[in-house]
Amino acid sequence: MLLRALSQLNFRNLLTPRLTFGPGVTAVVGRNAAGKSNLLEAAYLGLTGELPYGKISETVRLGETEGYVSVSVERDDGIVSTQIGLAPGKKLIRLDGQTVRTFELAKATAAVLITPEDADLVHGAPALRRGYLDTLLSKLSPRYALLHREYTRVVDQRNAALKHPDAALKVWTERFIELGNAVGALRSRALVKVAEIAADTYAEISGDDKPLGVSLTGAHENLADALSESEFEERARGVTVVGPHRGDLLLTLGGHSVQTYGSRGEARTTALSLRVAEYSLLSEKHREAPVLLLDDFTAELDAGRREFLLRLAARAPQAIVSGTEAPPHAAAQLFISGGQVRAEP
Amino acid sequence: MRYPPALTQLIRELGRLPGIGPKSAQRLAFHLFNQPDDDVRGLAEALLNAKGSLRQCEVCFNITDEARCAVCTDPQRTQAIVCVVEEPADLLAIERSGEYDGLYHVLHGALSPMNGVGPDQLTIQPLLARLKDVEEVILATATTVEGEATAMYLARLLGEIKVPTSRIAYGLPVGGDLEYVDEVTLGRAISNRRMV
Ligand SMILES: Nc1ncnc2c1ncn2[C@@H]1O[C@H](COP(=O)(O)OP(=O)(O)OP(=O)(O)O)[C@@H](O)[C@H]1O
Ligand SMILES: [Mg+2]
Ligand SMILES: [Zn+2]
Repeated sequence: MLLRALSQLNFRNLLTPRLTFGPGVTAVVGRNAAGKSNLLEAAYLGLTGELPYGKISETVRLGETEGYVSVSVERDDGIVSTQIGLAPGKKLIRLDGQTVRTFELAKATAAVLITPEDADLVHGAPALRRGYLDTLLSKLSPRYALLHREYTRVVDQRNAALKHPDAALKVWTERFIELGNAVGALRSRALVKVAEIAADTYAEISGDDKPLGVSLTGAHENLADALSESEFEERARGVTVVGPHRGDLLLTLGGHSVQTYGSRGEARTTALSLRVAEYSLLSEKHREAPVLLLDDFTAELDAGRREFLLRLAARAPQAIVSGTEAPPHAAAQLFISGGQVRAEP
Repeated sequence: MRYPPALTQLIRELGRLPGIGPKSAQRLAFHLFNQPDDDVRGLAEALLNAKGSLRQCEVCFNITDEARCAVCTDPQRTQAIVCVVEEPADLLAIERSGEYDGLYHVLHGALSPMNGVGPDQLTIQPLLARLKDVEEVILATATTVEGEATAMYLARLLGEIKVPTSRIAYGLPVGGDLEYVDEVTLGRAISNRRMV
């Protein structure tokens, strides 16, 4: 699919109300703090209804109270447009004028954002890795999106029930086990594919013989057993301590944890491999490639990874690549300064 | 500038109504202020009248202005089936379908520990007490997490005392082409299918 137009009002420091894009590589060039990341973030929000990191309401230009991001996308089967409201409160997503939920938007449009921050996927808190998996699976399967949302709500209700003696804990436990097992099963199934693509990608980038392993921790065959084993800790802490909401992605190289033993470079290549898995699974799901957003390729100092990123962008039907200098072979170039975008430097 | 206390209080009271945020409350307050005195008096009287004459049906907890509601006192209705709903509005929705001629039971909510709602906060005890000659209970709570948990809770309870219990089927919108139905609805319709 192709991002044809990006419109915005009051998104961070961006000033240009409307931008148009074509196929191939579009370079976004500017100095530090010019607004390159903001531009890619706006495109990602318009295409997915989500931010890679942080809260949507924080993207409203300082001093303003509301704004929107809107994109027009050309799919193989026609043109769709989205609009995402930025004001605090209930998230407002429109697809061709109709209010939809995030996972419904994911059926129409898709983007993958690769940023230098992705290294946090490896070194950051488990919630980031869970977020990677849950976000991806929710886009691949509406059933997962719904189950996961219900599961999260049931965990909250069950945690509240643990603190109130008359709250019918038993029924919440029953729902927790049922939904938790379903979420866990879907996760395990999807992880097989993620792991396979990520491992292949890692090998391609590094030329290394240390294989990348991606597996799930805290995935229980049956939550009922895990729950009864954790009863003591649960009672002491008053919260549900087992289940998919506590699971983590275990990333290994040659069998050893990248989180614990990996070098900085190994961590970056691992994170990049996870993003490529995302790109490839979303391509498969949509039967056309998502929009590839590559933020700050100039921050990538490793020659092998930089080569790979540029190859990935060149292969993609559409890639928007930002940096303090232009990538080679761009089909179009945009120059950004103080949030203002121009076609000439 | 500060609003006069009477206005602040009106905004605060309106803001406590469900679905009314601070902004809407303010808009409503100014709207009321701009209405003729008679209209405002009419509204105030309607509120007090409603509150004064309306109560919960002593059998099913539906809203009524008598001791028993219109459904419970209608001899034409099948007495042996009770349909359990969360709110009086759900009862009205089912009535509008014209498909149901049994009785109801209004829970006035659904289980939600986060909001301090356990079984004792719902009309579950009175429900159990009225099931002597009942042949079927239909659970028509919402498909929300809370509604499903409430249905499951009641199903277990009713199973213990051997009252036949069914859950209403959430299925496809009538007249819709299958290909335009979203996967989730379709999935639910398939898993809730029944023999014909
Ligand atoms: N909500 C906001 N309102 C106004 N300005 C904002 C908001 N959020 C971020 N900014 C500003 O946007 C500017 C540009 O940020 P951005 O991250 O896009 O720069 P960049 O071009 O990617 O720079 P770098 O090369 O350093 O990554 C920053 O100076 C930041 O202060
Ligand atoms: Mg940046
Ligand atoms: Zn009644």
